[in-house]
Amino acid sequence: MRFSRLAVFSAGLLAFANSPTTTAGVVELERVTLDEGNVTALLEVTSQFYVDAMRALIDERYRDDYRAIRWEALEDAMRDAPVARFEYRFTIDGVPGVRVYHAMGGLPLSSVAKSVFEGPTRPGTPETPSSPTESEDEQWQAGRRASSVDEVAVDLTDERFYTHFDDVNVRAPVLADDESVLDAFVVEGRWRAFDPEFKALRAIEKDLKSGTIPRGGSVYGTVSDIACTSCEYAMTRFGEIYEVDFRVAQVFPSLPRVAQSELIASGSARLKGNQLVDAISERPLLAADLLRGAREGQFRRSLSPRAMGRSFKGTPWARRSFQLNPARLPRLSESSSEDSPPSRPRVLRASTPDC
Amino acid sequence: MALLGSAGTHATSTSGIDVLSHLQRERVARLGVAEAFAGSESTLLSQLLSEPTSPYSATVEKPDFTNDIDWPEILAGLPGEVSTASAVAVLDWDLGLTRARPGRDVETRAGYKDTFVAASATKADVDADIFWHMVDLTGFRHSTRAATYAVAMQLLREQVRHTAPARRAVLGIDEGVFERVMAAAYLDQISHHDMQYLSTLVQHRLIHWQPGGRATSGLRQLPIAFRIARVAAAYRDSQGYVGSFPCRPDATPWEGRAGTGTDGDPRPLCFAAATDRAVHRWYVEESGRQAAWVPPHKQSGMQRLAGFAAAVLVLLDLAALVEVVEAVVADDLVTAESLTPAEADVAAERADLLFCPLPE
Repeated sequence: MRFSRLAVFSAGLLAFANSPTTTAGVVELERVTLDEGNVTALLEVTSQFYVDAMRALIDERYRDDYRAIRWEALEDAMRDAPVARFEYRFTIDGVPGVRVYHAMGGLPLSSVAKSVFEGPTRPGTPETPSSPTESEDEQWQAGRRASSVDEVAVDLTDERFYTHFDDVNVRAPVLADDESVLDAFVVEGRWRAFDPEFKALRAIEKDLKSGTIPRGGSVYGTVSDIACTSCEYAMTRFGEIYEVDFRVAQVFPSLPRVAQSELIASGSARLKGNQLVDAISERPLLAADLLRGAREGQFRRSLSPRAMGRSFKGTPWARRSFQLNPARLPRLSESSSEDSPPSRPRVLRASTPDC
Repeated sequence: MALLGSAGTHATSTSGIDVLSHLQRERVARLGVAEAFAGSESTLLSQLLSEPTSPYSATVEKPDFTNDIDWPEILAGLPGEVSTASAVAVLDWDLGLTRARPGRDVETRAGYKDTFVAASATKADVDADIFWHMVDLTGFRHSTRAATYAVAMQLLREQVRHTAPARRAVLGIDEGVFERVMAAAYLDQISHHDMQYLSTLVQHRLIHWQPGGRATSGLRQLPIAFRIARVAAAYRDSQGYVGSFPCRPDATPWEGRAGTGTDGDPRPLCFAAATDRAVHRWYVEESGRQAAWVPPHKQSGMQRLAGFAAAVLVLLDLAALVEVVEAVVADDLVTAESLTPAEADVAAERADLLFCPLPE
């Protein structure tokens, strides 16, 4: 990739801020379109946490329930659900600290899996619940709230599947409305309490209220999609109440048409199908395309019927090993009496006679 | 696009192009998936290396496949005017078939105290200050782990250099990690988060094939697995040898002293004369030996380092295998919509069968 040229185009995509960066409670939302820096790498890690948890859940509940069409629905759900990674940076007695909140949008994993594997026919892609056409309908809102309370309980029981989080990397679950000063709304037909950035906000809020982390820090976040307007409002309110600044990157799915045309005209890029690719290497240039591809790869490696150890045409299929390996340290609440190096993470060995 | 150096030199400054991915795409299109991925590591290497079983092998100038009837057309499909020599040089470079002989393969940079150390470290493209600081933190007893983090730190430094300050945070480029690690006097001063961040930078590049960049030396950037192995080799050379230096001054292996790279031969290679693949094989074995040492304190910086280095090692263990490179390439070809997921699985199946992790 011709880095400098692309960087110029990227810098030309102006960030937009809600207020100047002079006082606490500042919220800045910026867009990321081209694959630059570590945005896709960091979001891929977040996604891997959820893929691993889903694998553990399926292993326990649906191991023998194979129908291709259902697995396609599962792939859609795991690939398309937006993810968010919010770093809360703070200082205690002059010592900097950080806690990273990871969230995946949509219903809890148990609900997603139930929808995929137990529905009478292939359901629509499980995602953030949609509202009826009359999105402001009060009765529907009340029902939705009751439903979200149920989902809070379901998400809580899913906690045991998330074995790769630790004291620094934490999961942002669905949290109950009454624990938060942040109101979730229905916007554009979606109940925003299930948006990943909203889950992350409430998880940070919960930790602030419990004293797990101090006030006055800063959030550096990345969302794999365009942040919802109600989430933006929630960030502003959050910043005012808890004296927290936000700087959040949103991954936009496409370049503005003019910028794309100029890139193509410069000879740096060309269109290949629907993707904007590097003219020389043919590697996709947009962060959204690369992240989507990486997440499809995660699914193939960890969740496809083959990867789950099912037989395929009589040949057993081992889980793919060449994937992100987020090592975790024991949580403070865990203890071990053995002085030994941390074990190598998640190594599943193929049964090859050469080993 | 041009080749550097004199005859017998195989360092390449060709950047931008990805011959291996192109070759795989063409093979899939012409032969079908099954046959395209049916070759084995030994088949390919036997064409590219003059002595495939030797760690010190030279490369073959015109491998057999360049005589195939399809080759001119395949070559023409690469962007720009690429000669057969350039394409083969890129393939040799990306598959780790080149060496690090000072003045021939690598023009060494200052700051590494020794020519052979400088040759490996320069080829790995790790600056001297990072190189020495990381091994200061870990000690030579854990130099293979230091190598992983040295390369991660260099990656981060390059990202900081090439990104406007105002954009760094939004792009996940955390210069604070670099500053804190460089300021640390010992490992316990490096946080869990900072180590994990650096580990992620390395892992991401191990599982996504992104060849074709340019190193600060002007040469083509080595694939990251070989960069890490080269740094570890430089650390080994900088430790010195007692009475049995494996290289002659002209960077040829000293017979009887230099390791042969065969099973049961623990002697260090003459790294400058060895191919990147051979150095990588040594690296994996050396990592296993170093991992056997148990840190004395739980939750110490060393133990954190061990945990994250182990996560990377799982990937590094495999990264130099042609089959794994093919599998990684295949995954990324799916992203680029050049392969179907089912076709990628064919490549992955071969890679999985080769997966033999190191003993704990």
